Amino acid sequence: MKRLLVFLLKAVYLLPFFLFGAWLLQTAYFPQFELKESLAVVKSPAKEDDVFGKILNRQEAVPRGHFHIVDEYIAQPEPNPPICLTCHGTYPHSKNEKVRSLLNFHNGFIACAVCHARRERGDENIDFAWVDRNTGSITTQVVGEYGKYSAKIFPIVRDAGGQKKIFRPVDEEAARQFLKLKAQFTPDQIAQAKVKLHDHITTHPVFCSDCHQKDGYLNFAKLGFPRQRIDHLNSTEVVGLVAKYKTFYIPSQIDFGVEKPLQ
Amino acid sequence: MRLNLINFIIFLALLFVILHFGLASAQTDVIPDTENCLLCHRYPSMGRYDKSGQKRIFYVNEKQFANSVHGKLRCKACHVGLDEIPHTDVKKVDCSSKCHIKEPSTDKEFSHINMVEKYRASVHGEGSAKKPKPFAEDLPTCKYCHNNPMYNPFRGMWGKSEALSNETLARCIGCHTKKDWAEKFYSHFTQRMRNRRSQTEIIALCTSCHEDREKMARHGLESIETYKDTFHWSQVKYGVENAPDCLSCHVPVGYTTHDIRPRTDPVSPINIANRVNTCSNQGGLQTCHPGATARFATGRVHAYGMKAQIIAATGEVDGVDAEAQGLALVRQRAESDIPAEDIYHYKVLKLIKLFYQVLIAGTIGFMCLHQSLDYFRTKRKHKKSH
Amino acid sequence: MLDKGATLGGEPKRGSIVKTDKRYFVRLNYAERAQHFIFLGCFVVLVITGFMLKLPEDIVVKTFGGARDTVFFYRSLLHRIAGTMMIAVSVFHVFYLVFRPAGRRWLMDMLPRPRDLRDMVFNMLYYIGVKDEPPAYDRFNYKQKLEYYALISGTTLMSITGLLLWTEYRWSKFVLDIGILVHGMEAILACLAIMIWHLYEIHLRPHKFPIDNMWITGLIDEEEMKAEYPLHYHKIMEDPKLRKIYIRGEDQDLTPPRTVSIADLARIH
Repeated sequence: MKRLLVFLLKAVYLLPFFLFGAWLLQTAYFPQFELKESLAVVKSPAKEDDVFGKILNRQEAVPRGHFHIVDEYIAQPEPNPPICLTCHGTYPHSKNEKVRSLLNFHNGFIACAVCHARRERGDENIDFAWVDRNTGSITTQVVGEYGKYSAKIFPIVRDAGGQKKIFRPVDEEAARQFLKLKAQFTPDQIAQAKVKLHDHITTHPVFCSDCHQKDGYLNFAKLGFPRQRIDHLNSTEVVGLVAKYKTFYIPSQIDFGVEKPLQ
Repeated sequence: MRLNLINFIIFLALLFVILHFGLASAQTDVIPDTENCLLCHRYPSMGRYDKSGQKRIFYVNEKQFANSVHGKLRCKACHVGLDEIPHTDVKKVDCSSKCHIKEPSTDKEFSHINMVEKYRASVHGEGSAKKPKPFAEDLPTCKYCHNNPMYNPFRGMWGKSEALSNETLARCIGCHTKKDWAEKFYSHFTQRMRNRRSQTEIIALCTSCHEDREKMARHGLESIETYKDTFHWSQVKYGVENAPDCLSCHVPVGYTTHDIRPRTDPVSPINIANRVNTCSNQGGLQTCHPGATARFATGRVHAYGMKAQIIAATGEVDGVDAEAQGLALVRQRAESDIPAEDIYHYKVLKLIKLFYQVLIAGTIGFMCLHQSLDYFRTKRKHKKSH
Repeated sequence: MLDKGATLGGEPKRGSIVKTDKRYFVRLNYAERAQHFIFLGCFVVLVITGFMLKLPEDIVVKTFGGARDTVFFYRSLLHRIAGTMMIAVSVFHVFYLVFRPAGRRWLMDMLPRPRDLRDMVFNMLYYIGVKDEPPAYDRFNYKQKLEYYALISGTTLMSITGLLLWTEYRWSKFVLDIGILVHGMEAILACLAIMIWHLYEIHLRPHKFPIDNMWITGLIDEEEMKAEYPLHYHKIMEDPKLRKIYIRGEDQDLTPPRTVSIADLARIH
């Protein structure tokens, strides 16, 4: 017992010296800056097509060279993001040059499922509500303005007991399982899985004018928008802008790589 | 006549609208957003990825923009085009263009052209028309280093005291009665009274390119990591206010960041002829080496890096394949860059380091062996005697 | 150094060695202990404040946060103060070696002799089990001599390079580069050597743990003296002059306390 104690004491006493010594040796023999590495790069420059490595190293929320000062909302983490963002990212719309940025800005406060899982006419089960960013639960307490809200709009359903529940057209559990298995799948299997995964995703997503009109798809008043703001959302300013886009853009089928529409 | 009347009414109405908007927007922190760009651009998640895969953020924070140096400008003053929605006709922002703001000292239209011209002639510029620099895409643009400079908040500003700012400002307002204007003006000139970026920020900015070994090798330069071997860096690491960052030596007092020249240029502060002045930093706030002698100042500051290593290496590089050619290029550049004397210095230092590495390894190895032998022998002897 | 006449004339008083446990031998006198103490303090301060420069950035920021410029200021100040003190102690030590009888004895005992080489070989043989007993050492064994000379050379190099770096604006960058390199490498060597060679001797040798009090009391008991420095022991026992110098607790009624505090340092001579 006593010997063990002495041994432990010795170990505790020795440890800092040992660590310090190891660090000293490192500074003497393996300085942080190693010339050899530098030479190696010149001798064999990395392949030009190593774009993915570069993307992997890109960590900044705001890219270098962005001029306007942005605030914390840009890098704001989303504690409970819809599972869609795992694959589609924070700027999911990319296809149509004319509207992608406009659609993307809605992504900041509207969950994908709101537009991409269309409620059938007369389907009273599905409703829309704010879901708090941090807690992930349905709330009516929303603060903020112009997209900087403390919550995000989600579709909700009432279950048999009348309890409100977030409606998730893509089963989150299944999606996670798919991501786990993805590497084992053959390309064909991946295609099949994708179709299955997006089973409840509509081919005709809700578009600008569906909401930005009187008595539109979303009930702004029920969501708690003030009168003035609702008027603005349905004003000629917005609706006019929206009308302009309609001539440019007809929402096409979403392409999950299975059925390629004819060009 | 009737038509004229209608025109007149429309004119009045327009006047009213303009005045109304003008008055309404004469508050601080609000941009005179007459173009209504914020209708969309005030949403933080507005953006997309461009063709190169780069993230493009189209969000503008209204308050922060209003408090920036450019806060009084309309969007279209810089973003030319934009007449169509969706914006298909937008042109790249050109900082050297004239904007419709009068520069008060000359009363001419303001432009960054002075700086841009200097910059083009500097080491970071694209080179002359006859001899353009290779890999132009590596060269930093205005935006690479500058983001929209914000006015400093009154607190923590020049003199680090809010009270000082208030007191000074109170004196201004005595004559310049419009408080808004006075505040902006005060912010505008005081923000120049100290460095906007900390030393570590400056170093991070410069090293974002100069530590990229590949990029530097493309231009026959070497990466700058050896800076972190200097005592200069040790001080910066500890946030010492007087510590030198890249700009302290490469852009000392009397020079501008836009006009950084290569060492060989006689106007460069790190040209041998100007070194004593640069090291002693006469006339600046920093006190560096006030008594710097010529002997001290003419040495190499950054530790000897790759170039010296390449030259000092005895092995010949045969220029057969592309890789070796790259190496040969660097070697060629290096040989013209580094005087033979420096290579001699480099070799001596290398030798001393090697000597110490062998000495330490030998000494410590012997000591460890000796002491462990001693330990086990003494233990054994004690066991025997007990 | 030994006075042959004294050895012949003065018989060891067998009768007085009745209670061996009451007799202690002086290894370090007051001046030597004071030098060691100051040097030790300076060394620790120099190591800490010096290697602080080599810490990686993230650790510096994490540890010291916003106050790190103040930390740097005091670090620099302390490093210079400790460096100056260390140089002062070293200079004093040289004077001590030349002008004080105890210092001259130290110097003579510390001079390297061919015997040390023989001791070293024999000791190695003892370690690997060829010999049964370690060689009989005089006042300083070869380990201590090696360490002493390493200390002398190290301190000289560190002082010179340190002073060079302190007056940086006078020298060419090449000289400073050598200065920085030598200062850094020598510091690493010194730290490692002290940790392995010196701290082992006083802390980790079997039966020395946790600490050998000798650096405070300056004394060791007769048993240890006989075991570790038998030659010196015999020299002392045979010479009344040396007995007077090195033995405590025989003629004077001075028993060293069991536990020793810093405060006792002044009391025990």
